[in-house]
Amino acid sequence: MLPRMLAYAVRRLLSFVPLLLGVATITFVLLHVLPGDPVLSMVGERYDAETIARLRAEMRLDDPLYVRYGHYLGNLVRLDLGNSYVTGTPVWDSIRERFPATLRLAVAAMSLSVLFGVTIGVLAAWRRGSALDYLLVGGAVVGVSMPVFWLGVLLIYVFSMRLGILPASGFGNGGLAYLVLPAVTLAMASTAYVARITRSSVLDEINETYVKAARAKGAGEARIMVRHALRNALLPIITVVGVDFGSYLSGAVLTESIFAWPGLGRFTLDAIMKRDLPAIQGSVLFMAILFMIVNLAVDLLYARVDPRVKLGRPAS
Amino acid sequence: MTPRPGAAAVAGMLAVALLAGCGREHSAPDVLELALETAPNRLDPAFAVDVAEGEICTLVYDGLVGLSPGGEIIAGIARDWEVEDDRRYVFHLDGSARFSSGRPLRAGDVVASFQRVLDPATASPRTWVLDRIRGAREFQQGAAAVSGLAARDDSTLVIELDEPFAPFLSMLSLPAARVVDVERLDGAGLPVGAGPWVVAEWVRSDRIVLEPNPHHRRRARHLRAVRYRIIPEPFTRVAEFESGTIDVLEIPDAEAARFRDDPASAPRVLRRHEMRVFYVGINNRRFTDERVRRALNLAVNVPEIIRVLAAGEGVPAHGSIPPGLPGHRERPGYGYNREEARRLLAQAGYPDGLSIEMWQRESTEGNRIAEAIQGYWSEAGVEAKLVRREWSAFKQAVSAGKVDAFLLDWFGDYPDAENFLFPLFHSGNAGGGGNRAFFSDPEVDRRIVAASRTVDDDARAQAYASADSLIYARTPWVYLYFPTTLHVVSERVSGYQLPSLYLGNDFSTVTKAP
Repeated sequence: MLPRMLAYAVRRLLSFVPLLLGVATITFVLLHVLPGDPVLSMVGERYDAETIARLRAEMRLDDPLYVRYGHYLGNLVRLDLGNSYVTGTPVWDSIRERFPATLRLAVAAMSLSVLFGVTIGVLAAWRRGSALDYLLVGGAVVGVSMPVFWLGVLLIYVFSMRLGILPASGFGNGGLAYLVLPAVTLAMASTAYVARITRSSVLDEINETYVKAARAKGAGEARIMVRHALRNALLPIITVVGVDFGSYLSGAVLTESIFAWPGLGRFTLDAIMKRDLPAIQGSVLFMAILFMIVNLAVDLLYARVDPRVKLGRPAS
Repeated sequence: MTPRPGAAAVAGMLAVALLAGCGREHSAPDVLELALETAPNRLDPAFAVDVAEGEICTLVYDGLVGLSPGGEIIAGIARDWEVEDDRRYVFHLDGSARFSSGRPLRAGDVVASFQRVLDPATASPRTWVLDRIRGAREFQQGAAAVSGLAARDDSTLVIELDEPFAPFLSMLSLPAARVVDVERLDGAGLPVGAGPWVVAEWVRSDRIVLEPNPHHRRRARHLRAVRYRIIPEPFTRVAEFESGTIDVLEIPDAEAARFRDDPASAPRVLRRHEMRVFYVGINNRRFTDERVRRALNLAVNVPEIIRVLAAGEGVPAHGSIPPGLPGHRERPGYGYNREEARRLLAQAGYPDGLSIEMWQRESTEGNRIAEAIQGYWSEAGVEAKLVRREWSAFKQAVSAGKVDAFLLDWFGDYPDAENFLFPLFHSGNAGGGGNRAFFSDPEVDRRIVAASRTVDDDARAQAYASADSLIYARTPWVYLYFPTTLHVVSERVSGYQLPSLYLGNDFSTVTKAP
């Protein structure tokens, strides 16, 4: 089992190379056909043609596209993401500065949504058709449809301005208090989604014969739910969680903006607004790598959770 | 038996909240807490282009002259100065000036700093601040030194301009003319400066902490630090202020009435007439008929826009020189008259109205104003299509004269009317120089240049006022308003002065109660 998983992981990691080349190329091309000019973002409102020409030359923006593309790939091979046009600092440094905040928020939000989502989903499935079920499912619909912005503002209003028990924004001293509101805000939609997926997959499993067999053997209801139904319902839940986690790791622009959270999402948004090409290319590439790693981890987890899943072979 | 899940979830979140509540930081008594909307990109004065960068650079780097909170030119590194032949400036440096490293600042440092900005290798976007110095252009093209820039001795600096230019002294207060130690970087990787503050910590994505420069004569005595936090959302800034974690808040328009009219906060609200003008630039090359441009003005009810969209905080612009700057004059406006607008359009050959494309940059404030103008115009038969673009794409198209009209604002860099009239209306600045309406009038050009050569302040203000009147009569823009901003200061803070321009504060008088 393990050697096969390892071989599979290595093969998948190798497949990242052409994928990343594709991502790098598409990003590069897209950025260069969009309207806008990075030099104009740098100069303020008043500038003259000479200054623009000098800066363009300095930034090698006048080189033909294929020369710049070659230059960009050459740097990538040397693991150099280049320097930001706007700040003049290495893009990798900026990513490294912000990624811990993003990771912290993503892990906190994911933990909340798995914890509450799975619990709510199992309870709703267990009491299917009851008032409790309707309440929980209704709550999940509300949760999924609640705009992040509105929820964030509401939480700040209640917990910071009215009750005064939590800081409104920022990373602060890194204390847990600063993490609570952004994590709850970010987790809300995926909690609700995980709850719905859990409920429906557990319901599917409950009608399977092995559950009936367990019940016939006299197993307790809680044991049936968790050990039998939930365990077998995990695959779709892992899929949903994996996708959400991947996207959280690339930064949550809205949540980060409302809570002044110094993560990757705002960095990328700022870079896009300022046409800071190296910063955009670097962060998109970084996000792509994260996404691929999370996907790989999800696939490996499938095999671990469900022995029927055979890695690296076409499904029979 | 099983706990109710809803209750469990609420209890869980509350428990986390309460636990976390113990870790909450309170704002320290000797730290002034401020908020910035956007993260500064660079704090090196050769690269500072926006207001936040400019404000912090001014605190960290001293120049030959500075600005008082009221906007007057005050002595900086230079103790005093004489002007000879209207174009030669002799500065006598304050012998006690030192960099934050402790090294004495000499006239040669000023020369080196200016050459650093002008040096093409630096690639500074702000060379225009210094390129009126004689020999600056030659230096940019490879000459060994700037001929008009000389340290006569360690404490005397002579600057000679190509030709008389009275606003020069005012321009010397700009970040790009601030002095750095070109040889040394500080702990934050910035050139060492000689201003009242030093950058003690700079986490780009989160905060900038300044501490007093122990060698500065005007250093803050009561504050241990000034901390700027980057908080992009206006609502969040308000929440932080109300929670007592930031000390000065620029009040968002939507909240202005609440703070201004509440007796509890009203005494702590400060009002500033911004050195800024909102306008719709009309492409004067496309709309050559003045009647059309006049009609576009007559169709818009500016006082109503100020009342509804800016909480009544703003002054209708009947000219482009903001209130508070010498050269500003009260003059009768075009007025709001829809019928007259229709009549003028008909006379100009548009009896059935007119279609126009108006460009704007992405901004919440701008979006609302643009939609209001679109609404007013449509009532006068002008169909406006709004085109929204990101800043650089906007500048690219607008500066190339490819659009009919655009909504924009102009922020003064230094407190002189020249900073409005010359870039915005001189034909030599058509396009990227600032004159994006492509307005061109030889008489206006002549008056603007003549005014900038007039050394006597009163005569110069009068000359700018007359140029502004002439421009206003030609109707190059749809004139909107000069915004006023409200700021509210925490009751724990005293001695805070709201500077009239971003360059004008040093927090030396601020104290904060525990």
